[in-house]
This record gives sequence, structure tokens and C-alpha cells, in this order.
Amino acid sequence: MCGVNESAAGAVDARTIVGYGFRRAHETNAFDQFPLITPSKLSDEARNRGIQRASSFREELERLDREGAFRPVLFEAVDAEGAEAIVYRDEQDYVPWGEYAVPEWGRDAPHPYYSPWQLLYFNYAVELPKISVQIEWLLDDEQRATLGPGWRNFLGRQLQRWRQLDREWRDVLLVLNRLQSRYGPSVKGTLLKSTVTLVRHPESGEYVDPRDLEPPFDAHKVLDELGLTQEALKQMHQRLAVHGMMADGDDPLRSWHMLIRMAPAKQRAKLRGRARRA
Amino acid sequence: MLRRFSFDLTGELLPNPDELFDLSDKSWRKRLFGKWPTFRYTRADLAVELRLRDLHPHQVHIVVEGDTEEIVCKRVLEELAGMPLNDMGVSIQRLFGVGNVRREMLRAVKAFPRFLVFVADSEGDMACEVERLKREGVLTDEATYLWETSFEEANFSDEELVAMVAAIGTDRGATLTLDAATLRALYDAHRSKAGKDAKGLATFALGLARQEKYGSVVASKTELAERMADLILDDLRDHDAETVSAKRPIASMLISVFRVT
Repeated sequence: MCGVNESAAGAVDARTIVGYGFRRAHETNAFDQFPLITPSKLSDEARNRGIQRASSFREELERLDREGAFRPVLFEAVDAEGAEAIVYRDEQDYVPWGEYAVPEWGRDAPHPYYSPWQLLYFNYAVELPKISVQIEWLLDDEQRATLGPGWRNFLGRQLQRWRQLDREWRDVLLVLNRLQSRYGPSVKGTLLKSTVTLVRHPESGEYVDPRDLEPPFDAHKVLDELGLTQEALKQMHQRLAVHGMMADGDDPLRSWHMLIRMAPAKQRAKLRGRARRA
Repeated sequence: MLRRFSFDLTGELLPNPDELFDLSDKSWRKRLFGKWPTFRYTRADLAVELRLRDLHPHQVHIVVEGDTEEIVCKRVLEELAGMPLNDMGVSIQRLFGVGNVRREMLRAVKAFPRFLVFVADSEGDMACEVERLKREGVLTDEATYLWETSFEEANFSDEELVAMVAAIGTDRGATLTLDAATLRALYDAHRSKAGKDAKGLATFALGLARQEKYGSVVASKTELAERMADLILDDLRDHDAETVSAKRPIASMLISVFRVT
């Protein structure tokens, strides 16, 4: 039997960010550069990254939400009066998604949204509750019954980790969402040029660089807003680096890291499988 | 993004992911990239990365002094490789006079070749200028070929030069009556008299050949250069590279270029 690798995200006890959440991110237009994505888009992106998806993807996503492994950022829903409403998942306990359902093409369906950064740990969310076993062992009731307490303990812990996965990644997710308006354009561009997604000016209606609409970026204030220390940020950077290079299986392009990093974002987006997950 | 954020906070750059697994003191990165760590990458960094992986399309840039060297280098390399210079990632640039050395060399370096090869006569201020460029790291000892006399004299014997001019004359129905000993005697006399303004041996030989008393053989430097290339290629077909290189230093350089492409 073999389980999946230890999640790098689990190396640090997260959940330190309390002053910033998805509501604030949404209300301050933090998703302009990397918009939230639908389950359909998430499925496409997961396929590009070689992540196995269940045939009933929406049901799989709801299961992952229920178990705590992978939760949406928000739901588009309707309130009691039938008006459009946003439900921020980190402000609610799990409820069956049917409760968030809104009319769509003659039926009711929930509208969850995810951050593209969640793809960093989506493979874990899918793979952590699985192990591979020999078919002979699986089909043999007697052998299965001999699974010792050591294995049961180990696999139980793995399942427990799976149920905390979304929480373990929450801080990273919030930090990336908080920073993406500022640093996203340089990540999305080419070697020497940034690519910014323009937004409409609230008054003139013209398309403008969203950074021109924001107050000057003060890195120290943002760090305070996130409730992080520089050391915590450094650890988060290291953790992400290790995760990308080896924690989620060895990056096949590890020794080509810098060359790949220099490629335009559009070209990097053409990578597939484990290379794309790095 | 975290790295950039951290830089805005502290002014210090966190290591890149691949650097976390690089247990060396990273001095090699500074040596290769010129600066390290870097906030952002440039096309110069990309060129270094490509060179590190032997993928840089521009492998060798050869700067030669005159058109004779240009023709010889191009012909021999293309014949050796069986493909145009451009396909090999080799470029050749002519240098128009000692005064242009610095400007042209620096321009060549900006094109990011893996190897910059310099071929010229050690006349006038050339040696001093080349030494300065070596000290500045623009040129290297291994890739600099300064001929003590001239390209022609350093790579071909007087007999070979005369034979090549005679062969051109034969193709045109003219008979060269100049011999190698006469050429040498007249050239030495010319050089003593003209000093630093002396003509190169090839130009001098072509001038003599045109004279009626030596057969009125009209040959251009271009035609002579083609013959020189033929001679080197014939040599390389008949002998091993080491033997040819010992006799003709230019062949040594061209074989090295061919090997690194």
C-alpha cells in the first residue's frame, strides 16, 4: 500500500489570519487580476494539471467541502427576499449546497466560486483520501481484516489531515488573494512586461489600471492587515517553494525551473500534468 | 508574489525555489549572471540560462579583420558542418580598422554569443587594444587570434600563396612567372621601405602578379580567399585535424568553433 506524500501545507499550523477574509477580499475587488472560477473552469484547470476528477464533479466538490478538504470561496445565492446575495464560505458552517441553489436554466443549482490559487492544493484534496492497494488484497476479506493498528492509525491520520486541508491552506490563499492586485500583473506577463486586467473606472466608466484606483501600496500596512510577521511570510514562501518543487511529487521540470519561470505566463499555462502543478 | 512582497517589506530577496535546493554558496550564479540574487529576470539572464543548457541559438560570433578572413572562415565552417553559418548559430563580422575594435567588440558582446572569437593582425595599436579588452573580460586568450605577421603569412607558405595565384591565372589562360623566393625577397624589401604602411603579403603578391613581367595575372583578394579555403579543406580531407592545425592556426580555430556548435 502507498499513501500520498505529506502535504507541505501541513508543515505549518496556519489559521493565523483573522483580520482579512474572503468578504473583505471580494469587497475590495481583490479578484480583479485572478477572477474567481466556476466548478466548470476548475474542472478544466484540474484536467490541465493531471488531477483526477470524479465523473460527477459537482457532487465531488460538495463532498470535499463537507469534509473540509476543499471549500469554495463564496457562493452566489439569493436571500430570503429573493434578492441576489453572496455567501462567504469562511463565515458559515457547512450546509448542503442545495440551500444555496438559485434558479438556472429551469432548475435550481448552487453557484460556488473558487480562487485559481486553490489549484495549488486541489490535487491533495483529491488524492489524500486515497491509497493504492493490490487488487488481490482488496478482494480478499481475510487479508483486509489483517490490516494492523499501525496502518489504521497512519491512514486515519491521513484522513484527518485531509479534513483539515482547506484550513491549512487558508492563510496562503488569503495572502495570495490580498497581494494579487499588486503583484499579479507581473506574474501574468512576459519576461519584461506586466499584463494587467483593466477595470472600469467607477465614475468615468473608462477602462483603467486598477492599481491607479487604489491607495498607494504600503507593504507594512498590508502585513499588519494580514496579521503576519515577516518571518511567517518567509516561512510561507519557503513552504510554497518546497510544495511546488517536490511535495506534490517531484517537479519534472525542477532543474529547468528558472527557464520555465522566464517563459511568458501564456506559455507556462500550456504546461500539463505535474509540471503545471509546480 | 510572496517574494516581491517580502522584498517590498525588507529590501532583501528571498531565494527562488530552485535556490532552496542549491546547497552551494551560489557564487556561481553571480559569476554567470553578473548579479545575484535578482528581483526580476532580463533577456540577458535568459541568454545565460540558455547558454547553461547549451541551447543558446547564438553560439559563436567571430570578428575578423578583413574580407579574406571572412571568406575563409565562412567557407571552411560551412563545408565542415554541411550547413549555413546561420543554422549553426555562428555569425561573422568584419572589423573595419583598429579604431573600431572597442566599439565592435562591445556591440558583439551585447548579442550574447557563447563564444566571442577575435581574429586580426597584430599591427599598430591592435595588440594594446586587444590586451585592454582581455583585461575587461570582453575577450579571452583562448578565443583571440592575433597574427604576428598577417593572416596570409601565418597560415600559408610563400610557395602556397604563389601556387594559388598561379592557379587562378591558369583558369584565365595566364601563366604566372613569379616564384616564392622572388616574392619573399621583394616583399621583405617593400616592408623595410614602407614600415608600418607596408601592404599585406597577399595584396603585395597580387600586385606583382598583375605586372607584365610576372605574367599579367589578374586575381582578386576574394578569389585568393576562395583558394585559401579550398586548400584548408583539402588539407582537412587528407590529414587529421591536429596536423592541419599545427600548420595553419586558423584551421585550429575553425575546428574549435565547429566542435562547440
